[in-house]
Amino acid sequence: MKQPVIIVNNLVKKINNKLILNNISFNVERREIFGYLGPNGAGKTTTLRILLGLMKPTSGKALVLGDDLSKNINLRRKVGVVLENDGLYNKLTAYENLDFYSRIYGVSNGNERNRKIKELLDLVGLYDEKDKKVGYYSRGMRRRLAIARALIHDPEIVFMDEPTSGLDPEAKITIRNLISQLAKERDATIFLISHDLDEVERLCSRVAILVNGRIAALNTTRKLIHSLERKSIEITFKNMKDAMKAAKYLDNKKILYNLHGNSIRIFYQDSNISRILKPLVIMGLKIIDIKGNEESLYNVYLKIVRGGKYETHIYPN
Amino acid sequence: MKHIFILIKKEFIEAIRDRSLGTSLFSTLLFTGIFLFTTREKPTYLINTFIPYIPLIIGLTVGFSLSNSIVKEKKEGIIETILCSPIKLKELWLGKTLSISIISATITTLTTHIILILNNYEPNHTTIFYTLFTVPLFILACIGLLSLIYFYLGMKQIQTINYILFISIFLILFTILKIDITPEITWKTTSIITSFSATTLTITSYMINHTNIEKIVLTAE
Repeated sequence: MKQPVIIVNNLVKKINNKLILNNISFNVERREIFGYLGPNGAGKTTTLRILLGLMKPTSGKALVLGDDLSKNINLRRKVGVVLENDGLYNKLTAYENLDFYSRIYGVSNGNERNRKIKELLDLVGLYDEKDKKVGYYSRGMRRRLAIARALIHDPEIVFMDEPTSGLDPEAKITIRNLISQLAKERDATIFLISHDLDEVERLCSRVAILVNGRIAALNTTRKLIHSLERKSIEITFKNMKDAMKAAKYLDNKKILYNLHGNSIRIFYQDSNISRILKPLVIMGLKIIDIKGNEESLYNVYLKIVRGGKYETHIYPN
Repeated sequence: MKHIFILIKKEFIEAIRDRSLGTSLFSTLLFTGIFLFTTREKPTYLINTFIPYIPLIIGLTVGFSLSNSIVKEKKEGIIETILCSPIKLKELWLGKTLSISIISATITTLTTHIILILNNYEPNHTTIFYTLFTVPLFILACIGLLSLIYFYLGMKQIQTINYILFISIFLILFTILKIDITPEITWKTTSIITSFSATTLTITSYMINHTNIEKIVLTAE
């Protein structure tokens, strides 16, 4: 049986009497890329801070590699972090930043340190810029350097908080490839907080969705996407009048839909879409376009976050 | 201990490249120049009256200016990142405080001795002890306290507290120096300032041991 490297059990956190985390529980297994999603203020960063030992839980457990990081400082040598802010020294060069952190993390051998720094700067594509002060780096370069810094001591787990936020599409792809490479080549476990659902869908094997301080969904990414077993189709009518008639019909048949102007997105669960489409054609409504849509993590996320009925979406591990 | 040395080395590199060190050096030189120019024809006893104040004023001004880096690091999330590493909060505090204090004390001691030499002031044992031990200890205590306060407070509160703290320290100093009315550095003045500094440093060090990291993280937002 696989041993979880992160265990969160009945975690509750109150800050100034406000409930931030409400009894959350989940495990993360070794070599897994675990996505942690949720809207702003849901409690993602608070969970991360508790796991990193920067905050104490009000009640419950948050263990990393079997221990509490706030108490076991030496265990931090096995953990790497890329927080929302890069945490880099602007006045130091990329090389000096990595050299400083490697010494702090106890990479004491000079040759070993130099080799590691060179290897990581190569990995993140910054070796040619190693002598440039970090203050002159672009956002993308800083994020890449922050990832290199997180890996300087060969951590077993890397915690990443929005590693691609504020980056251009090309830089996002570079970082994504880097994260994927990390898990495959370095056997690292990655705890990824992200707002980029496409990124999470591509990278993460499992996902937890946090809403209002509670775990609203927790499952493998694939199962989560397919769990609602609902597909959608978007029908564009020639005019609004026809769209309204279709909406009335769908109301009568208790079929779920969203109306946007003269377009209707119909959500259906069985595969026989013709049962819905045929009556609309018979009614003489003028359809000018039909687009089919598979469920994506984006749709699942929106349904869960906007739905608010999170109890109905909890899936077993 | 090893972490503290790593931090101090890094702080020195940063300080050399930081504009605030240049500004501090320029301000100190300007102050020294103005002081020497305005006191060149004044009687010696009057100049001596200022001597106890000068190193403290220079030390605090330079220290305050350099310690701004703590606020910057807190705001930019560097302190949060470094607290995720195997470094202890006390080591971080000590590394920062020591490096800022060493730079401030070096500038202060050099400037003070230049002023003393140019004023033909003949230093006795008390003056030497005062400038080489009491003043650096006072700077260390003040920077230590300031770092602790910066760790604890939010960004807006820090702006306000800077002024209050600066004025408070000068008021305390003024009171201490007024106890001994002799216009020279005496053992009495020296021991009062040394005791005040040692007590402040001990209390601050004790408080750092009991500081809640959560408070530092939350006030950085």
